[in-house]
Amino acid sequence: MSCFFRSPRLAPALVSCLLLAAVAPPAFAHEAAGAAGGFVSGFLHPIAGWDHVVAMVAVGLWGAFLGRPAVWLLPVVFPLVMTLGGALGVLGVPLPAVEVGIAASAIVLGAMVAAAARPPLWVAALIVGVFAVFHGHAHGTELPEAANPLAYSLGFVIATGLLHGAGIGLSLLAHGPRGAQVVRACGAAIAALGVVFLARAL
Amino acid sequence: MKPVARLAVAALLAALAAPAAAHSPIQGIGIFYSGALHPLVTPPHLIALLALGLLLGQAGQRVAGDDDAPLAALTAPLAALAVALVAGVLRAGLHPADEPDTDRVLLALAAATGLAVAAAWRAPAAVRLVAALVAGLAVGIGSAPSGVTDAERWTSLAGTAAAALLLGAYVAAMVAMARRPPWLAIGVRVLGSWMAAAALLVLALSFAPVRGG
Repeated sequence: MSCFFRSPRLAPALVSCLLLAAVAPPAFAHEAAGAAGGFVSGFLHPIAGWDHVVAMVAVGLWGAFLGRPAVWLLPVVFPLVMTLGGALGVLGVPLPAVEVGIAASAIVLGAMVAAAARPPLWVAALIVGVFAVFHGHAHGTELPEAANPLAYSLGFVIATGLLHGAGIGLSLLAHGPRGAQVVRACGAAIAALGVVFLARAL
Repeated sequence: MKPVARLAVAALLAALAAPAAAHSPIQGIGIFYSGALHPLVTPPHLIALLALGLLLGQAGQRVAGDDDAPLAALTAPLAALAVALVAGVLRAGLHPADEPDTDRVLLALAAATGLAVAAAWRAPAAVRLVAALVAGLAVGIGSAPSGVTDAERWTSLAGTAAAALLLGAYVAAMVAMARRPPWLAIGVRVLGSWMAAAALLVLALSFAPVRGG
């Protein structure tokens, strides 16, 4: 099993931490108000919606299949592209069928993982970028009502990044023959969930 | 030293140890801590200082040599940050009623430095110096406390300057020393993109039309 990881102790610990961080409930030591409340609200926004969760995990899974440099390029670029969509939402610029776009992201990205697709980097980046705009728009629309907009923004950006990391961590399983099948099965499940989300959105 | 003597010394030190007070009861120190917390709990200040630390530290990661070389590369920009903080708090202390909107400046700085970190741009030393100067000035000028006496204001501002410098220096040093394993450098770029994304969104919000409700 250790041959599947670069470091026998580091990688499993990283996977565990990322998964726990992605799903851990917030610790309400103090009443959520101001900056703290804004951060919690923003952090929960991507996590509270399964359509966001599965799509972001799929980005991480797919990045690992694509290999370098996609595996680290996507987590670096995705938040910035998502900002474009977020800015549109903040500025009140309507984006048609946002929920349909988010559902479609789960279908397409899940299918890419299921097929272990390895298109050219620019094609993958374009696909992910288009869907990043939809996700960003959904988050950005809520920004003006946030208790603290900057804390809210940091919250949902960090939560999105952690979900990517969880996907990348899960994709470490793909280094073995059975592991790759498990990851592709996860992709198929994500795509199937996307169909359910799409049906609800229509 | 004989084992019995060591035990005696340890027991003596334990008996003489003062209690560890989480918050100092000494009057005047409280306002210092209040000022020190200001850059940590004010999101634009915090994000600008974090992004600056990432930029300075990322440049330090590229410095060839032993483990001391990256830290030596931080001396000039951190000195610039310190000087700018002093200038900024002096300005805030002398003109407490006149507080320009430094939040947009800090958000713009956080966005720019965050993008530079995400792109792993090899910013020239002059650019890093300017970024440190802008951050220090904006944090200092934007930290004047209200409803306090003159003495309390200066104490609070001293705390602000100290904490801001420590935060920027700590982040820069930690990042600069994180040269191995290589994926740490990618993690720094991810953090930079997070800072930039959040700052850009809030800047967009500042230009958004007011929504009727």
